[in-house]
Amino acid sequence: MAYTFKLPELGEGMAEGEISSWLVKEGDAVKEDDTLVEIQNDKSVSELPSPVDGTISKIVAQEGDTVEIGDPLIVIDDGSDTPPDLGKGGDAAPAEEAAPAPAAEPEAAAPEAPAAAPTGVPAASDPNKLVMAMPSVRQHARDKGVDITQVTPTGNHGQVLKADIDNFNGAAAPAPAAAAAPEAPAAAKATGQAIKPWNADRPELETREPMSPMRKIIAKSMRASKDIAPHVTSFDEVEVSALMANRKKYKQAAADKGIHLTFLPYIVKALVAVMKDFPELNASIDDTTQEIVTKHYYNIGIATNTDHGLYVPNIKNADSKGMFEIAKEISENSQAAYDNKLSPASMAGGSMTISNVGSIGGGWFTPVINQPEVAILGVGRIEKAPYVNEDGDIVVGRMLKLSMSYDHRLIDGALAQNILNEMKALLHDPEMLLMEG
Amino acid sequence: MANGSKQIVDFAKIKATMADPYKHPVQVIDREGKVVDPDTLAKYSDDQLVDFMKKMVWERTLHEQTMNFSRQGRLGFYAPTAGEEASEMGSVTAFKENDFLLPAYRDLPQMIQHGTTVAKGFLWSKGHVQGNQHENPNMLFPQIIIGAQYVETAGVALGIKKNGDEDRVAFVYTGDGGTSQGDWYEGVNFTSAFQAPAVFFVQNNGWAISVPRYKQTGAETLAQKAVAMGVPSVQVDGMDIVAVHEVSKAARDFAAAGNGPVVIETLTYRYGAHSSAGDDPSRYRTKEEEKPWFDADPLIRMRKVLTDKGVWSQDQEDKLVDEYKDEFKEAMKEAEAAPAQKVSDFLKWTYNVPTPAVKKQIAEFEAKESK
Repeated sequence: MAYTFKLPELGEGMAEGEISSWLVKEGDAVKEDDTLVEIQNDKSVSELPSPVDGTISKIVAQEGDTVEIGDPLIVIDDGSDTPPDLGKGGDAAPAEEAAPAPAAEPEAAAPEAPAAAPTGVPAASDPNKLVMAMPSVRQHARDKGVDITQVTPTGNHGQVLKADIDNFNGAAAPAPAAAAAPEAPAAAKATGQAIKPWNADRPELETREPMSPMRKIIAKSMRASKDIAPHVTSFDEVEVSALMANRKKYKQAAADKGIHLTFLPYIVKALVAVMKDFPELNASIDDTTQEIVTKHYYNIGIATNTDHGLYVPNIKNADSKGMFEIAKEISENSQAAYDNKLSPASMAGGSMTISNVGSIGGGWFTPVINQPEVAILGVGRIEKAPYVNEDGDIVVGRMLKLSMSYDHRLIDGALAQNILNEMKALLHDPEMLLMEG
Repeated sequence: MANGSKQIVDFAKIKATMADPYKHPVQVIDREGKVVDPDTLAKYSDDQLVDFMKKMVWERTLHEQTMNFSRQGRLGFYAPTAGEEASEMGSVTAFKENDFLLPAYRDLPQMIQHGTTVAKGFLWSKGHVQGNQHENPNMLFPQIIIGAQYVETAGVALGIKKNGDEDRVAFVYTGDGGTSQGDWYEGVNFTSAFQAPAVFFVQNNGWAISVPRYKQTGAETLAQKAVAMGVPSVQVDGMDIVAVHEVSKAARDFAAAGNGPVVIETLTYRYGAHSSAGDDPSRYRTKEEEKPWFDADPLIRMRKVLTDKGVWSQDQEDKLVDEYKDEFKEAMKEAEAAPAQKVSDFLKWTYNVPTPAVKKQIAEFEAKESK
């Protein structure tokens, strides 16, 4: 009945390509080796020839679509009995397929499910799963009696690291590296919209340039996050004169230690205290198993803007660190981001993220959750504004605006407000931080 | 150096004349299809010449069909061969079945000529272990490490000499880039030191991926590098199949007679990308550079000679192309029908008698594979 032609690997390291143009249309008769389509990737343009004789029954990927290796491109009626296979997979090279791998089934069976939501407690061990790890790491796993196929990798390109073996506790694996680039789920790959010139006679009114790889990753991550999580954002503000005074008091002491004390460490500290009272904030939802994964570590991500992209390194185990230590780590991570030297590990395993635009300005905004986390706290600039104090007098307050976006699947509006209330209490009276932190 | 007196040695002159013996690459048919060495051509019957042409058409068609298979996702790594037909078919046909071939990754066509099947070639590209099991055992599978096959050749040639095999040589191919590797010098030097029987081919196709030939060495020719090892060498027009064959045959005779190795540099050109891994030649070379080489196509000049002789026609060639295509499609079906390979298969091929650790791994993987 049909042959489904999937995007083959056209070059080393090539993960995806863009359909530049189809040279056939549905209903056309084609012969083996006739050119079907032109694919543009970052190395070159390739013409893909038809592997079979037949009639085009369906063009699956449209011009302008970005397709990944293994994505179906076109279905050709070649008179065979095979049904069309619109799932993702390497059918193109049957001789290279691994021996029976039943555990690979869920992917093929439910291609529409957002299976790639990168939170993960592996369902079952698949002995034929391809594991990437250095020999020393494999040895380490054997020495520790850990089944390496069960370990969630956090290294580059899905490599299992030694630390992953050490962190593996046999049940809930830590969430994988997703900080800067959570994988888009299959469903997020909606056909994109084409932008037509506003005035076709005057193309000079617009310019076009390709998106940088980093911009593509950010775009993909943001779209994936909005697809996965129903976002709600609650706004609030808090008067922080006391916090400012505290910072002023200790700024020099910090400087003497070579540390630049900003407001961020206070917010990190307050957030950790709040997360301890509201563990829902420190969680992920595993869609594949419909489970809530609650984390017992407090790795607070700081969204870091650089000229080459947005990164979210996190302060590992912020609950066990002092204010100065946190301040120091924030500076170091930020420098590493600027120098393009952040390790994947420094972005992996986050609890919740803080997005601070206050250094530039701004008030309330609606930050997008850094998957697979469930909330993100947006922080604006501290501004002078009229404020009614505890005595009922109007005074000049120092107002800090807070915006918290949260995943409504897990966190409801009332809970979110309770969270913000406690956050406010801690930031309004930094001495409380001493008690809670 | 007082008073500009004459120096004891004139390095400038030595440098300027080093490539003199290589000024005239061996040629029988020039780029216009004109026969420049009729005496040599006269040694070949029409049937032999037609056979040369058929082999080049075969290789060009194999290349084109392989590119299609590659873009259909039916192959793994493939190094395009278009442009190098005369160099590859002219040379391999000068050797006997008993000679030992050490190919690099661009030498699948020679391997098939020397005694493996097209299907095996495809299986090799797909990374299948069956692709390494050849009908003619007198060859290794393609070497991927640049130049390493030269060292292996020294070993094979030494072995032939040590065993006292009669009328037998080792022959090996590398590209221009391979001559910049230490392995190249070591392989040629050891073979020369032992005066063992080997023919070393350098298919100078102008480009080591994106590095042009002139940036790879200060030497004017690659052939002259052999002089340092006391090995005779020659440059031959690599787009002229008769010249390549004639030179290869002479080299084989010389080596097989116990005179030590020979180095042959064929001047050829890589028409397309370095490999199917995705380099785009238009990023590192110009159309102006490519054009004269496309015009020098080995098929064009042979076609002219044969057509002038009245023993070749376009119809005949078109028919051949179709036949070859069908043959390659059949071969691909055969390759695709090969059983999926297992990790345990690889482990079983690692040692003749598996070590205890490998045995344990075989058992481990067989258990997994049966799940």
